[in-house]
Amino acid sequence: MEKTLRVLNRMVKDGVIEQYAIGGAVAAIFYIEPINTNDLDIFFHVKESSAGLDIMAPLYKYLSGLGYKGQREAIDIEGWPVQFLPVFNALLEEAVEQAREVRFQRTKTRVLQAEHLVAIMLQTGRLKDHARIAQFMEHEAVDQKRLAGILGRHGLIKKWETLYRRKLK
Amino acid sequence: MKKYPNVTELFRQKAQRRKRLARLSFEEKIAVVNKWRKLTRSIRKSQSAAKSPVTR
Repeated sequence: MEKTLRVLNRMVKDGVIEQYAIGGAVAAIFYIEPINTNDLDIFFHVKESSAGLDIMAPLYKYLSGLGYKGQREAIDIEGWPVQFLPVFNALLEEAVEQAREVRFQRTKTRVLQAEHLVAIMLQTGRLKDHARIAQFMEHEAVDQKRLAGILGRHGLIKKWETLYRRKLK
Repeated sequence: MKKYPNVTELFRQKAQRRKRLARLSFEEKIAVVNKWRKLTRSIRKSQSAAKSPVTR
């Protein structure tokens, strides 16, 4: 994992991506119990100049140049299949901007905050997202006031109250 | 009426274990996940070997 993160940091340093943050199951693992997962979801900012173009092409070209091969929709980087996901809405944009900087062994990286992860899962709304939201609540891994603020800003309060029949504190 | 064992304590211990796992460091948790990934790969390998036709 550390080698994978070093490659991602190098992509930022070399200007291939503007900024990234770990999302998905690996980000969730930071806050709750370990979850079995096979890939590393990386949300990244798209450069303004790339709008309308094939935004993934420069990433694949750069990584292919370093010898990393595609594995269906992911790219195997130092033993981890990495799924690159461009920021595609305001919630993700805020989430990546406000991601927390953490260390994995000796390498710095960025992980989406717990409250943003829950909001994104609520927005995505698959059955497994709801199961994972339940794990976050069970582990008391979210600040409910902060979560309420995020849900409010992104029009998700009603969805939360409808699904979970409970108001946030 | 049949008597069943009380498993309340077992479930409580299970919940405690999950809380302990949640308190591991990020690195320790990823190490657990890596063990699972290795296991999943070997299970998939055995499954595809079992499905392959035998060549004579």
